[in-house]
Amino acid sequence: MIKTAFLLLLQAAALAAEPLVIGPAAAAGTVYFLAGRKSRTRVRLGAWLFLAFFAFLCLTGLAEGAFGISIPDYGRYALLALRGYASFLVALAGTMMFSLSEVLCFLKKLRVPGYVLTMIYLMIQDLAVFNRLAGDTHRTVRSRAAGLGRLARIRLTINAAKNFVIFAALKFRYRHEHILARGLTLDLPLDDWRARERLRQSG
Amino acid sequence: MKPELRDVSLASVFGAAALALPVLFHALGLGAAFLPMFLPLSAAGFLLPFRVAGPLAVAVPAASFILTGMPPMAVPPTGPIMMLELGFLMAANRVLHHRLKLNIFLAAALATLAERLFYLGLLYLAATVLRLPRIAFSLAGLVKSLPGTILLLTAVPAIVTVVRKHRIS
Repeated sequence: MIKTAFLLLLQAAALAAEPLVIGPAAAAGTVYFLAGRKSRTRVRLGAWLFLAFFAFLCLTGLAEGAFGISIPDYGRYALLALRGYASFLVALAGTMMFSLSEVLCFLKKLRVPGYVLTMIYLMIQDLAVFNRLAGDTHRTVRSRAAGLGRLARIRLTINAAKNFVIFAALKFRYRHEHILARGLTLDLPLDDWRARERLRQSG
Repeated sequence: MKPELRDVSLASVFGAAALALPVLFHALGLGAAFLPMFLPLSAAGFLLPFRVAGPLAVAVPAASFILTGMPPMAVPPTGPIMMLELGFLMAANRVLHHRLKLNIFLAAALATLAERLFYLGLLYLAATVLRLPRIAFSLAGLVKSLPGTILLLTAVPAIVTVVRKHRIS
């Protein structure tokens, strides 16, 4: 509860505080996250995306300015991009503060239906496998495509994408059979998981 | 009526693919152009009943935000816009293909066209609220996602056909 309140406070600050406060705070947050091995890639990606968002706003503003439709306000675009980036950093902090069962328990308290919770749980479990496969597929395509012509590269990529889909479909079939064999239902034992997690955390 | 475990399980596979693909595409700098989250979810719209596929429209962007911080939920309001778009696309796929019995490629084409117009309206509204260059912002957003639109028209019906051919849904 305290963690959630703290994050909401930070999120509100990212969206409403003065630029002179958000700027240094975002810089400090960036430095902090860049130091962590897990968060480094994410924070780079976020910085790149919000920079692209700022460039996109400037270009559209410039285009409308050139046609006399509106007057571009670059300061406002910069402030929006900065607020967005600060809000992203707060979300990133949130990802490191909560476990999956904590999030699911919170959603359960909000009376989210059991099947949505089950769906989210299974989704997150599958995500690691899909991420790994997507990374491996990308590397394989790149290495096998070295020296090939454009058409052969496209064929190779399509084939890899097809394999990805077939893998996903097969994974679904096996997982479904596994769930049926174990007689699992749509109601996850979230409270038990959370109690066990608390026990582990308390040592 | 309570959804079947089989449908929920298939929905979670599409949901996981919708969470993983944006990470891959964003790493290559192609995220906004290729609509990676839309591809598996549009397929889910064809294969699953709306009462199971519908929650994915909200759960996937929200889960992605919780896991990765993307899509942003407030500035810019990409997350809420995506939730509305995805819900609209999945409902359109379902209605056109299952209720009106249209061919899958035709249904995908009509649903995508309707969804892009809906998206244009949402962008215009968001740009007005945020005081951004409305016309250029909405049109540029639409043009930027053209490669993804082409994939929605071609790859999604093909994926659905592959999944059906393997008798998985």
